[in-house]
Amino acid sequence: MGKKHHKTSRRPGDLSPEQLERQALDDMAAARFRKARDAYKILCKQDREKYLPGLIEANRGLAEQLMGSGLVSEAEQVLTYLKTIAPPSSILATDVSVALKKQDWQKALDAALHFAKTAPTAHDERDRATVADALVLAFPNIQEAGSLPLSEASDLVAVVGALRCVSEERWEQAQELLRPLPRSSPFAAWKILVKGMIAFYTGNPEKSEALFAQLPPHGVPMQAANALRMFLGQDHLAKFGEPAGERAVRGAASLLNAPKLAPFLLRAEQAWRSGRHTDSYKEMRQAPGFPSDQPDLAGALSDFYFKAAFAMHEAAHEKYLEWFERLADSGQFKNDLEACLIFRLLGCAEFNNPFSEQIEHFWRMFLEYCPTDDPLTRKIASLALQRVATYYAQPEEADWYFFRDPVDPMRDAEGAISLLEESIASDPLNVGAYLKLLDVYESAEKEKDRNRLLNRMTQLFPKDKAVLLHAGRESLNRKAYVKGIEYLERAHALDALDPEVSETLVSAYTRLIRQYYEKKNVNKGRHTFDMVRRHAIHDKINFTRGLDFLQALQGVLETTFGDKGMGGRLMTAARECTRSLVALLFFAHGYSRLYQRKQASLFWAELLQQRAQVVTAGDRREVFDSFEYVHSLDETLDWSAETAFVRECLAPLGSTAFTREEGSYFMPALGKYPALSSLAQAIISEALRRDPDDPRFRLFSVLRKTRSPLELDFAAVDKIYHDAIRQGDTNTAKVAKAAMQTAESLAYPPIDDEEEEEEEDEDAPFGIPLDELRQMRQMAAQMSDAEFEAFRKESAKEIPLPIFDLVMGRIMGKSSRRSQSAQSRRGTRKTDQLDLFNE
Amino acid sequence: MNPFLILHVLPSAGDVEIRSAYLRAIRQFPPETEPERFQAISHAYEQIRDEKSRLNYLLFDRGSPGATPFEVLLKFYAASPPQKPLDFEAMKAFLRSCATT
Repeated sequence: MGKKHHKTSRRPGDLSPEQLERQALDDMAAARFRKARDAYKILCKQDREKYLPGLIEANRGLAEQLMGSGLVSEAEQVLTYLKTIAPPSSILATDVSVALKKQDWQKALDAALHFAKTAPTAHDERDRATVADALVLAFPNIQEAGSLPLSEASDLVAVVGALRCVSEERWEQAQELLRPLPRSSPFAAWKILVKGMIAFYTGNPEKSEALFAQLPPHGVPMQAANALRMFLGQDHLAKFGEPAGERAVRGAASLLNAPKLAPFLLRAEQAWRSGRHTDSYKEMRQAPGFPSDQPDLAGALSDFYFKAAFAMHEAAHEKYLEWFERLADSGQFKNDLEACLIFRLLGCAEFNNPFSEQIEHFWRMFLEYCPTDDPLTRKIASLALQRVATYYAQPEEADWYFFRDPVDPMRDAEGAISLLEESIASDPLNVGAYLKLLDVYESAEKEKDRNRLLNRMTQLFPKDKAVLLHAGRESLNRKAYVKGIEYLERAHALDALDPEVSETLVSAYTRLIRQYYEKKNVNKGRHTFDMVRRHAIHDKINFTRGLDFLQALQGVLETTFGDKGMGGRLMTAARECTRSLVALLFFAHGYSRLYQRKQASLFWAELLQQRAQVVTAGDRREVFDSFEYVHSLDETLDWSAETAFVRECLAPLGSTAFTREEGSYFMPALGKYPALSSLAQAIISEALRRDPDDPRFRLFSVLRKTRSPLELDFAAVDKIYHDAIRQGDTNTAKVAKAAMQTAESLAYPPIDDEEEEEEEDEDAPFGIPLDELRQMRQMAAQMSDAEFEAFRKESAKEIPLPIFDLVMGRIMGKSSRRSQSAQSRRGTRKTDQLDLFNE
Repeated sequence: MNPFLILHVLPSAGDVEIRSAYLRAIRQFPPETEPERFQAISHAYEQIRDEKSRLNYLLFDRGSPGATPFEVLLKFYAASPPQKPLDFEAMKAFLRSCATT
């Protein structure tokens, strides 16, 4: 294949004059002054008069460009040549321009004054603007400016004065100063800029934008306006194009008092946009004042680099974190703050790794780099250790109702206890650490430790609602109802609107009341009922706090242990105010059975009659909820008649109208009762008959057949997951993803070296040599979906597909085709944020 | 965006200072005229209103403040626009930097 030549890459001599002129203009527009100069040189040989201005412009641009790049001697050579071809006014203007680039403001002022004296009638707009820029940027004081040998000295005084007024927020005075400036003044662009700045800072972006749009394209006012325009709309940067955009960002950073960040920011942005995230960080890392924990631009950028990982797609996330991990291993931090932020990032990332072995290390390293003189350091240490302990106290796999295999309640109970004790030692007032330790003791069945800790907590935190609630519950568990009520009343006094406290408090009172009645202490029971009524509610069905249910309970207790007439009256009152007669009857029947131990209570016959009233899915839900409550009163009782009643009430669910939400409500609930379990299947069948593609019920169907996470039909769940995403059913997608993650985690537990060696000694599984099998899996892990499918088809010639699929195991889905080491190291990213960087 | 930036307070600020900054900010951006700004301010305040929330934010927050560094710059400005123009010396430096670029 021959080489392709782009049209514009032909040598200038090969082009026609028209083509060459067009190329010269393009080069000028793109600031390629050297190329433009070469083109104009050729053109001048053909028509000097026509093309000389172009040659002069190109040389001026080149001289300024070289000067701006610090190539002074090269620029001076160009200027020497320029003096041989350009009129004096143009050369003088170039001198001004070069002085400006060199940031020699005095020289620029002198050159500008020389220009004004030597070429007062020059008409080139650009020259006049350059001179005006030099005069303003010298910022002479008012007296100096007024006495300058200039015809427009008063205009200069006005502009400099107006700029000072703007910086001091004297808006009207600034406007007054500018008013006399005519449009023909060389400072007219500065007038527009100042007026635009006033509009910008006084919150009038439209006016500001309109004024900036009037500025000529060259000169300092336009550059300054572009920097301000960056903040007037996000699309400005794209409009500016490459060099102007860069200049605008530099200016914008200056406006935010962070001029030193600008050059790094530009390169960092380019690297980030091209997906080189760590290169971007490397660029930014060189900036002075970065990273920062202050509320400034450097702080915002630091925040970005140390949190962006949590919004990246998985591969980029892994790569980004691995780079920081390597940096952490090398210990070559820019400063302690960087070390802190890196270890914080790595530590936070480990919370999502179900098999993390480094989490504690990262957080301890973080603490090591925290400033020791900060009074908050001990509190920070306490919180960090508490959070790691919480990680240790979690089960390794998702707690998920369909999997019935017993799971370890905690990853590392002893580790959690030890860290929580350390956390408490760091900050003895960190109530959260105590509460967590309480939970851990409970899960680890360390009753004595738990009670000892609870006693200590009630002394240390007598006014903490959560502690009082815990103490109250613990007292109830020990049947110390009076003590429990005392704690709970104190918690209630702290927060009377907390429903959890109120519910627990009423529950405590009713247990005490039942105890009084059961011990025939009826008067005390009645008196306590009077006290509990103030916590009763009327507006919804609530078996604990509902006034109807409280009255029904007292009615049953009076009928059983006290005054039967009073019991009847209380039941009548309960019926009058109840929101669900079926639920009320079920409730009263349950308590009657508890005390009378007879199958047929006073309410049973009426309850059976009420069955016909159970029509809607909502009615069925009330019946089921009542049954669950009553069943929980004493699970050892024979509730078979009640179960049959519920079954009859719920049976039509499989054939009558129910919404997806109602169906979904019953699915996990029914699974708890073997006698009702077949109803769950009926609901699934009916739902799938109506809509065979419904991802939620397809998922229920798959999960019902799955006895353990390891038996999960991964492909089916993966398909359901994608269907759910497509249909916007995020809840189902979440459950499906949780199921896959759990199965995946269990399928690939972390491999320690010894186990790995043992595995290597095994003979070829599935008849395939182990190294070949490993190679296949490694290859598959690198492949795209399409490549993997092709590989699968190709392999089918030698291996039966079911065996191939088994060998590849659960790496059929893209997400699971990562290497085992990466997976066990990092786990699967779980984020509640949008994937900001996914292409 | 970082709540300390939104409320213009240092990470070392105390409860009283943060509450004052919050009240000042919602007076400046009331919900009737600046609903989005008001919401951002209220959310920021919730994130750092007491010491425990502040420490939890500093230790465990994972919300990225933008998608690229430039976007962070623009969001930083939007969340925390300069209350005043640059002082005269900074203004001179800014305008002069526009001549050299």
